[in-house]
Formats: sequence, structure tokens, C-alpha cells
Amino acid sequence: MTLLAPVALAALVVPVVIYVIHWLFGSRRRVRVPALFLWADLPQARTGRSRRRIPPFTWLLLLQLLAAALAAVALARPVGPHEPPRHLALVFDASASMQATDVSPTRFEAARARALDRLNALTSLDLVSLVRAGREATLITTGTADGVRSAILALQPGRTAPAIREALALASTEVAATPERRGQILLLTDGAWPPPESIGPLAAPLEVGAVGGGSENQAISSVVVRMDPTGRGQTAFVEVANQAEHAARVPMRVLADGAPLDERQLDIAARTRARVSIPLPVDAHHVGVRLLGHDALALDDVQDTIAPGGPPREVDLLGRASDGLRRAVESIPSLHVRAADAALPPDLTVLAGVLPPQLPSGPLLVIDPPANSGRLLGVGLGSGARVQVSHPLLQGLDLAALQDENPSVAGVPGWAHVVLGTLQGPLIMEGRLEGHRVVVMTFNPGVSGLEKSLAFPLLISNATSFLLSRSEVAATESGEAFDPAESDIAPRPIPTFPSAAPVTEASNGASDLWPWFLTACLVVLGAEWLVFARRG
Amino acid sequence: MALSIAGDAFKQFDRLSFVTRRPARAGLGGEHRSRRPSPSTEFVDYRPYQPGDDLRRVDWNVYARLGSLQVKVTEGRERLEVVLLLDCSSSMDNGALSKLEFAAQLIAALAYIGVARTEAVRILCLDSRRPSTAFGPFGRRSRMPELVSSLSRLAPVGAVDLNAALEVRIEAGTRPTLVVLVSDLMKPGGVADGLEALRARVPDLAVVHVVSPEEMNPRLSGEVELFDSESAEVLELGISLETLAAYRARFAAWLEERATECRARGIRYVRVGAERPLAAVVLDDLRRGGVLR
Repeated sequence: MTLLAPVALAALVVPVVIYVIHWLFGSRRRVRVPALFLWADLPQARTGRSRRRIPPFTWLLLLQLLAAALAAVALARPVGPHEPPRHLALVFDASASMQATDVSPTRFEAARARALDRLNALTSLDLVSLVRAGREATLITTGTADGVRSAILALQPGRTAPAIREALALASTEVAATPERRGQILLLTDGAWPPPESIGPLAAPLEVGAVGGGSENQAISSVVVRMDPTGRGQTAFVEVANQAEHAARVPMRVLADGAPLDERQLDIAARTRARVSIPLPVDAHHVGVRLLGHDALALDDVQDTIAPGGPPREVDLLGRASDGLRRAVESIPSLHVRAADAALPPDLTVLAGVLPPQLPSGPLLVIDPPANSGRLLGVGLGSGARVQVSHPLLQGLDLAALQDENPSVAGVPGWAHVVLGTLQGPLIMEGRLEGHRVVVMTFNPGVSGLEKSLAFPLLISNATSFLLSRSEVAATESGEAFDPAESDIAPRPIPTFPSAAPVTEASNGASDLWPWFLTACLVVLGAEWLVFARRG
Repeated sequence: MALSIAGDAFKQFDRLSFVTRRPARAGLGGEHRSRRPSPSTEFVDYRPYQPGDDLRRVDWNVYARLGSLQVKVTEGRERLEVVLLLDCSSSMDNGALSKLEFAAQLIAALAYIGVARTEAVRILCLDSRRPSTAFGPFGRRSRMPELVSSLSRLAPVGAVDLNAALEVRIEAGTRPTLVVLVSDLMKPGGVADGLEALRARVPDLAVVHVVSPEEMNPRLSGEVELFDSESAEVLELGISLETLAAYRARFAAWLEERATECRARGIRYVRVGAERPLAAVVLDDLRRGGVLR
């Protein structure tokens, strides 16, 4: 038997106190007699008050001592020795949809409360691993329940889709590392993610703690600002999605350089999108769109972007820039390719085929970097074979034009997130390198003929817009772009994940014995009351 | 209080009857001598004829033999009016064997004996109520279940001043022939005043003194708190062998005082133990004490 709160054994002083009370004040037996006058003034023995004696161990005293001792042991929370310690892997869905407020205050807070409840049921012998399923799966910490509690309190949701598959794999690996413990994986999620690819058998049974369940959300899917062909004006193309199961009327406001420009109501059918185009002044630079209605997720009700209007941004082209690349950059109206020896730092630097030790200031567009650069060394396993179709870098792009490209690097650097990748390696990555916003294209567009396709200028335009808008508008953000797919907050059916370990009945912790001790204490108290009542 | 009396438990008392030292006067039809001469077949004596006597009562055989007119004197038989007093104080409800329960059974047995002889039986409880709890009069055996049921509902009532209770319990206008008091007589100064007042109104009186074995021989030791059943007073006492011996001596003297108190006033006194079987008490103790025959 193990005691979870051994300090409570200090309560064993209570039986001693009871015994001392009996010793100090005596315990006279009360006897009912018909009349006292026959007993008055009789010669009597010395009373207990004049000389203290060890109190006799009457049934009453013994029962009182036993009840107090049982209560003290119950307070110490004894647990049975037969049950092995546990290893609980807590997988937190930290996706953007977990910030939905259909559960008060948010889905993420509800998941946090549930996790803390589960920790309370664990013993000090149990082990807990905390895995955050954000854009990547991250092992936050592993330790006792008390140690993990503070980490859970500090956990924050992200703005992207959750890497559920990777998180479960990570949790399974952690649990498998402690085979002597009874493992369990608890996935706290809202289920608002598509079924992941097969993950294989997990090392422990998976329990899903579902939070939330509504779909009441409207979102700004995209905001794109284009210069009119005449060059005398701009147009904002706004797409608003209604993810709810019913039609909705959504009030929308458009801001240009902070001033309200347009406000209108959009009637959108259930699970459809509405697209509107709004003319903008030619000199508008910062464009913001706001949804003024109230829905479950506020993250996707605000979107800001940089319009091509206003003064052009200075771009440095460094390295072995091909003609096709130069033409693609120069064709973007809002950019101006300047001479390399300019004194002021550029707004954007394009590095073609080079990656200098001292990186230029500002955001960087890196094309076909040298494969032997230490900055591009991959970490971990995997080639980053994925496609983020909704990423701004791939917006409007025909991905078939990129299918013949070969990446020059095989792994994913620690600082980068793969936007488009193949089994050979990542093709397009973005991230923050040494403090710079960076987009890397790990292929030579001149080799495959991409430079000559219509997709190339669009890709360059997306990349420069992404870098400039991120650097100017969202400089204060954490670095994560909101994943528009997260606007669909409705839960999907959660697939079953097979487990290699035998499924045992879910239990809240080790087998607590304190209820038995408490019951015994109550029984003894009842017996003590009976003895007292019978004695009169 | 639950009285457990089997249906035929009192059959063995069918041949018993109350002993009274005074003529009965509860009406004709009983088995006891009446103080009033009445025409009957019960011959008592002769007396000289006086003018006005019924000539049918002249014994002409005596006249033929002696030559003087003698009239036959006969005596009627009347029912006895019996009042049974039951002490319901809390001192009667003490010990493993409740004296009150035993006394109630004894009262039921005495009532049965009375009604079996067509006596008029009334039961009065010595409690603090005004008027006191009373049952009866009962005159037929068929009312025994009602009597037992009434006794079963009795409960100890707390402190009762026996002297005051005995003084007022016999109602004005009723003149019972025989009163039987069943009590533990637990009163520090005795119950002489009450008995005296009762005897002034009742021609024949008997006291059945109920004593429990715990009173006779208490099994106490060590430090105890004695708790008075009636007054709820507490006496802390260290019990030793010397204490117990002194108590037994005091209790024996107290019992003797109560017996003397009764006998000095011509009251029949019978002491019975609550642990004894009811049949033994009725058939032996009460007959030996002259209450029954």
C-alpha cells in the first residue's frame, strides 16, 4: 500500500489526543438508578479526579481510537500496491478552431479544464507527457502530474491546423519508452480536422476527449487586391465563407489605410461562399476587411493585406538571377528592382542561387539555394511531403506546373515550414531564419522550364506579396498564418486508432483505498454511537 | 411497554380470590359477605321476635321445641370493589428487568382474579396527571383484552410524589372496599403520609412492594456517575467493596422501614422480586401475604 498524501498521517495525533482527554478528564460510567438517596453519603473509593489513572480500554474508547485512526489513514490517500503506475500522454489539439467560443469560454479552455481534472486523479507515481498538436507536433514536457500542470496552464492554441497524426505518433513513442507503465493516450480535441492518414497501431489505448461541436462560423476566406489594368485604380476581391448549417446575413466592413471605405451585408447560403469585388483608391496601401457579426470564431473575422498601390517597394536582386526571374519581379507593379549599391536597405531581397553568410536585412526570397548550406540542413525524419493548398503562396497556382521540379535539399530545416513538398524533399518553404521572414524555393525554375510558364510570375507575385504583407502588416504576430481551413469548426467523425496494447477499462488513476477506510471509519462511528446509546 | 400475556396464562388463577377484612358493598351478586342483612338462604343467627318482623322468617320448629318465637337472621353476598394502584414513576422503569413491566403484569393478573369473581375492578395509575389515568371498572372476563391493551400503553411518566399521589387518587364519592398498591415505594422519607391518608378513606389496603435484583445487589465498581431516574440528578461516586456493603445494609434497613410502616397501620405488606415468575408471585407470595386466597 502506498500513501499519496503521507503528510496527512500527522492526523494520527488525534487518537493520542482522544486518549489524553480520557486520561485527563476521566470517563466515568453512567449508571441509572431508581433513586439517589440510597447512595448518598456512603463511604467511597478515591475518585479519578484526585489521582489520574490510565483510562481503561473500554469499548467506547477503543472504537473512538479506531475511528480516528481510520480517518487519518484515509486522509493519507492510500492506494493499492497491485496497480502499476501509469503513463498518460496528453495530446492537446492546439489548432485555431480550438479558439471557438461555442463552449464557454473557449474549446481550448474546456480541454485545459478536462486535462487538469484528469491530472487530479493521477498519483505522484504516474508519469504524464504533454504533446501539443499545433502546426507541428511538439513534446512540451514529461514528468509528474504536478510538474505538467503548470505546462498545461501555459499552453496556448495556435492559428493553424493540428498535426494530429504526428502528435499521436509522438505520444505513442513517449508511452512506448516506458513499457513498465500502463500507458494511455488522451486526445483532447474538437474533432474539426479531416481524418489523418493511417498511423499504425499506437503503443497505448487512445481515449478521445471531445470538446465543442457547433459549426456557427463565418470567415473571410481570402482578400486579394489587384491593380486595375489601367493603373488608375485597385480592386479588392473578398471571399467570405459561411460554415454554418444555415444561411446567414453577414455585415462586412472594408478599411483602406485605416479609414472605413465600404460596409455592406452579405447573404450567404449554408456551407457556401460569397465573393465580392470592391473598388479601392489607387493609392490605398493597407487594406483591411472586418466581419462585424458575432460567430464562434473571431480569428477569421479580420484580415489585412497590402495593396499594390502606393509607392513601389524597393527590391534587390542578388546572385545569379535569370532573365525570367528578373522579368517576373519587374512585372509586379508594386515592386521596383533597384541597383545593388543603393544606400538604403531594400524592402525585399531576392537571392538567386546564393545564400551569403551575412544575410541582407528585411524579408528574403531565396530561389535555388546552394544545397550544402548549413542553414538548409534537415532535422528529424521525413521529407516534408505535403501540400498546403490554402496557403497564400499557392493561391491561384496550377500545381501541375511544379510537378517536374526536383528539390535541391532532402530534409526540412528546423526553422522552416513546408508549403509544398515531395517525397524527395521540400519544394517551397517559409519561415523565420535568423530574424528574417524567408520564402525558399528549393529548385531551379530555369531547368524545368517553369520560368517560361504562366505559373512562375504568379508564384513570384504570391511570394513577394506574402513576404511584404507579412513583414509590414503582421510584424507583431507570432509568425503563424491563420489556416483558412480552420474556419470550418464543425467536428468530423473521429476515426478509430488501433492500439497494440490491450484495451483496459479507462480509469481515473490508481485504485484508491481511501473510500474503504472512510467507510470503515463511518461503520466504527456508528458502532461507537450504539455503544454510547446503550450505555445510557 | 409491551405486555406479553398469553390468552390462557391466567387460567391458573381461576380459583383465587381477594381476601378482604371488611364486608363488600358493591352490590349483590358477589361472593363476599355483605354488611347489610338481606333475605337470603345464608343463615347467620337467631334473634328474638320483635313486633313488625316478617312472620315468614319465624322458625316454628324452635317455637315448638322451646316455646319462644325466634326469627332467622340471614346474610347477603355482595361484590367487592377493588382498586388497583400502579406506580408509574420513572423509578419503576430501571434495570434490566423493568419493575414497571413486571408491576403491570401483576396488575393484569390481579384484575383477572377480580373479574373472575365478578368483582368491580378499577385501575388507577399514580402519575402526575389530574385526573389520573384510570381504567375500568371492569366486571367481566370478556374485557380482559381491553384491560391488557390499556396497560400496554402505559409509559414511565418521570418524577411522581407518591405521598401526594396517594392522597388524591381515590376520588370523592367512591368507597372502594379493597385497594392494592403496587409500587417500589421509592421516596426518601417513606410513604407514610400517603398511606395514612389512603387508609382514612379505604377500609382495607394492601401494598405490594416491587424490588429489582439490581437494587438488592448492585453490580458496580470503579468510578461511576449515578443518574437519578426521576430527578435526573447525578452523583459521582467511587465504588468500593465497602461502599457496596454499606449500600446493601442501608437498602435492607430501608426495606424493613417500609414493611414496618405498613404493618404498623394494619396494612398488608408483601415484598416481591421483579425477577420472580409472575405465577410464583401470585400463587405463593400474595397468598402468603394474605392478599389472595
